[in-house]
Amino acid sequence: MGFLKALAVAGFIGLSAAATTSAMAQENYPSQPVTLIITFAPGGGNDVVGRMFADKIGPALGQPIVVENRAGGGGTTGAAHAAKQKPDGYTILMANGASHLIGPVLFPDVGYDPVKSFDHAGLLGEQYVLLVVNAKSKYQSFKDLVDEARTSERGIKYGLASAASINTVFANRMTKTTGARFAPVIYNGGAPALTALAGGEIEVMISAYSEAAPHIQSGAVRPIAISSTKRIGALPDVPTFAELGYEALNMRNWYGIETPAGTPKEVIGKLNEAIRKAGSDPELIQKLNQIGFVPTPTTPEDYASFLAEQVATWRTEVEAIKPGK
Amino acid sequence: METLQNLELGLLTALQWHNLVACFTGALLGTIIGILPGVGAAATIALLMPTAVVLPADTALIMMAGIFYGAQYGGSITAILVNVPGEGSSAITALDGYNMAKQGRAGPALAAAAISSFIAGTLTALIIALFAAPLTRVALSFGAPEYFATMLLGLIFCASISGGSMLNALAMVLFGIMLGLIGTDVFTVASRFTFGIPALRDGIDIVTFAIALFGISDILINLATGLQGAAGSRAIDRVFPSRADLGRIIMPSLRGTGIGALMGVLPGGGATLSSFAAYAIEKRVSRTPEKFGTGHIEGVAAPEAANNAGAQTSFIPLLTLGIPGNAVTALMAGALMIQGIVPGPQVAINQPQLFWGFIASMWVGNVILLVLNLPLVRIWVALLRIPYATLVPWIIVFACVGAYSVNNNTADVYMMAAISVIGLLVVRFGCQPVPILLGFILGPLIEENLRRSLVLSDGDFSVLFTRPISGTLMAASILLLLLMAYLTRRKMVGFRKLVEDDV
Amino acid sequence: MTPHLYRQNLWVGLGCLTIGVVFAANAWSSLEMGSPENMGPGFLPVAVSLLFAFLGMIIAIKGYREPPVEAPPMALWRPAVAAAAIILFGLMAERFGLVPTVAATALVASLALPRKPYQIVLNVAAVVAFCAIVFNRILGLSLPLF
Repeated sequence: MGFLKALAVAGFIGLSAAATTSAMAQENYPSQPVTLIITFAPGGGNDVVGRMFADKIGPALGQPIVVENRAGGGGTTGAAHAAKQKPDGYTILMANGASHLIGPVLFPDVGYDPVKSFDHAGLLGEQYVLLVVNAKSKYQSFKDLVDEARTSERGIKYGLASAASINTVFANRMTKTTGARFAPVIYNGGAPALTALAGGEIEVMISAYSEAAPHIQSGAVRPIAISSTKRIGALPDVPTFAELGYEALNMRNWYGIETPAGTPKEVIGKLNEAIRKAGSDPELIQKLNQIGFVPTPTTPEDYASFLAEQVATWRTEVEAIKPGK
Repeated sequence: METLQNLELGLLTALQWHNLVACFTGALLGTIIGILPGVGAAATIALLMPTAVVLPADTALIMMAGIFYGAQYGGSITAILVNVPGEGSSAITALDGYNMAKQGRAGPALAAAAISSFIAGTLTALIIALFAAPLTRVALSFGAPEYFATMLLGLIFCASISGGSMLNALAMVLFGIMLGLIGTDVFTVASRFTFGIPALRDGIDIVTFAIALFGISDILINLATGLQGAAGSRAIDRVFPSRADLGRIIMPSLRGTGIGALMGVLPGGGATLSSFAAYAIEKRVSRTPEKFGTGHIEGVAAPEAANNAGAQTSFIPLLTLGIPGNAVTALMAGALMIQGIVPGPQVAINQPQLFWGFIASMWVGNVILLVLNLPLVRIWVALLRIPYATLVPWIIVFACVGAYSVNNNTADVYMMAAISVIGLLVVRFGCQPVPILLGFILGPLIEENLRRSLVLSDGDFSVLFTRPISGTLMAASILLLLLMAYLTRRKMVGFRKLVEDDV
Repeated sequence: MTPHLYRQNLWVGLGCLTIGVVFAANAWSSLEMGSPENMGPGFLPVAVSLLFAFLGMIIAIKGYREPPVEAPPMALWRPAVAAAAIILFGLMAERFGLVPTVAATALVASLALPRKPYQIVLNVAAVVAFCAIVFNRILGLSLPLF
């Protein structure tokens, strides 16, 4: 009896010890560096924003953030990799429209569900679609553009950095909403498209402030309108589409932090806290402002419902850019 | 006058001790990385990104640039010694460089690469300081029709590089184009030639492709033929080039610099393409074109000068417009942005020290590279004494790590294996791999710009001929084709005459 | 052993013809062609593949008329082992970490070459040590050591 009792006690202690260590693991989170997966190549807009945040989220968590770029498949390769990792909070993903709204619709075989395969730690923030024209262009306002596109026989051609991005969806929405004749000229990335705009090959381009900023500052390129709900700090004189009467053209290009599905609540909580702390850091806000990115802190719950709503509403619009045959 | 003052400010900045250390570290690291096949400059700079963003902006920029041109030079070292190009742009260097090494002239070949790179680097740094603005206008005046015409001319011109049957070379160019088209169509996001494999949607990475097609497949061939090609060719005559060698380097280096400086400004693979073009032009102007590909020192100097010049002028669009033209400059732009500096024309005005310090550092970096590498030639040549059988596992492992590190994706490693087997088969059946690489690089660019030209002109083909630059280039292409047809005909007539005489 | 004679260009041509037809069929069946003025994603792939197949046919005909040449001797197991080493790297990298992967790759690659066991062991150890220091410690490659 003594032996059995001892065994039972030992078993109990063992079990509770195991329970404590797993609880401890969550309580101690993070006890080692956290890997942040960025789904685009280093140097691009996604990478820049991700690294800026990583610099601030790290200290807020008390562990360094190691950035790992897993580019490919229009953002889906990195997201698919992240979805397969251990849900312990040590691998986190920077999600965006490309990996969560567009990729999974274009390629049904990506191997993850944008909502169910992840837990959603929080939004980082958003940037907006910016309509720019060559500085020498005769178009002074969005109205000029729409009028010309409605009346002229050939319509207006605009440059686009990709055939499947947030900006592509925006372009289709713009054509539909205005009922005018706009036709895309697709480029292989933002850099060649902007070169073409600055060189005058195209007169109009659908871009983002982060891309167009140097050319706006040098005076080669002129911003016409922006897709934010209210004017942004970096471009106080540029009207929003909503101001101009096109409410439907409000569009945000958001970035958020996700973890593989099944991550403990405590870990999500800690991550969310760190994201929010980073997003309110004045130095970071100032740097982000320079590239037209606005931090938008949320709770995990708000982010999750926001994401689910986005995935549902975007599906039809993304189906429209899917290649035929 | 102002330029002189700016250059002085730049030199003072670049010669500050921490910037000198950064420049030296970058050049040394770049050289070492370049030697590891497959681990390219872009991958290295990407891996070092976290370090770069904590350094002061000018120091970070100088170090990253040092890695870039250090890697250009390092990549040619393995191309010459073991026929494994470290970068896409040194694939051409291997043609004559490796043959020189086989003849025991590895030392002069390496020295020729170092000296021609130095000549190109020095001149290009001056060109950037003096002519950045006009060169920018050249880049801006290039629309889709001009790109199409340039690439087409390049394809026709360079297709003649390789020896052997013209028919087979043409078939290999087409094969390269087909491989280059693998991936996602830029205009419609349709998956092309992916055969249901998701990993092929992003196409094949150019560095991985070049390493596999030249470096790894060369190893496979050597293994298949019982190492006859690799062994018994290692006697070394002399380490440094003779006076006659030096004389033969000068003009090809200058021509290569000119070609590289012009082509580097154009975004997308400028440095790689310029090494092809410089080689082709050198072969054309040479009185002994048949010697190219047999270990001709001019065939090392010209492409090396061109790729170094191209690497440096590829910074121009970044500096003057804020537009990164290739993966490396995109990384540098990103590093600047993370530091809160938006790259672009205002940088020269608001932060002249950063701007001119960076330009001056290019020259300083090239001096460092020359000082570093000429004495090292002795050591690199000594590497040849290591038995080939010992080297092979190293090369294979480095190439695997390099392919993996491009995207942190094992799919690239599998693609490398597949392409190296294709390379083995191509050589086994008496065809040349160089036209494949040419088609691979140029094919997709030609298609993209042709289609964009037609979108812009609403389907009117005349746009390719009516614009002054593209019209001239198209005319040049047509003339070249006619010339080639005439030469082929004349050769055939001569051949027939020979046969008739024989009878 | 009598030298193996074969018509090299016949095989080159037949290879090009087959690949060209397969690629053209793939592009034709999955992509929109469009018109020359407004090319779809399939236009150039089909055109280039067909041209490639056509050139293959000409090369094959030319090769059939040529006298056969002697096939160079080739030991195919050696390159096969080297290629297998590369594939092994891909299979192992994300499951086992840098050290075991590099060790296995270098070991298999060494087997393709005429080397004594002690030479192989020393060389593999050197490769592993170099990779661990340079890629993991200095360059910070994302693969963990183990």
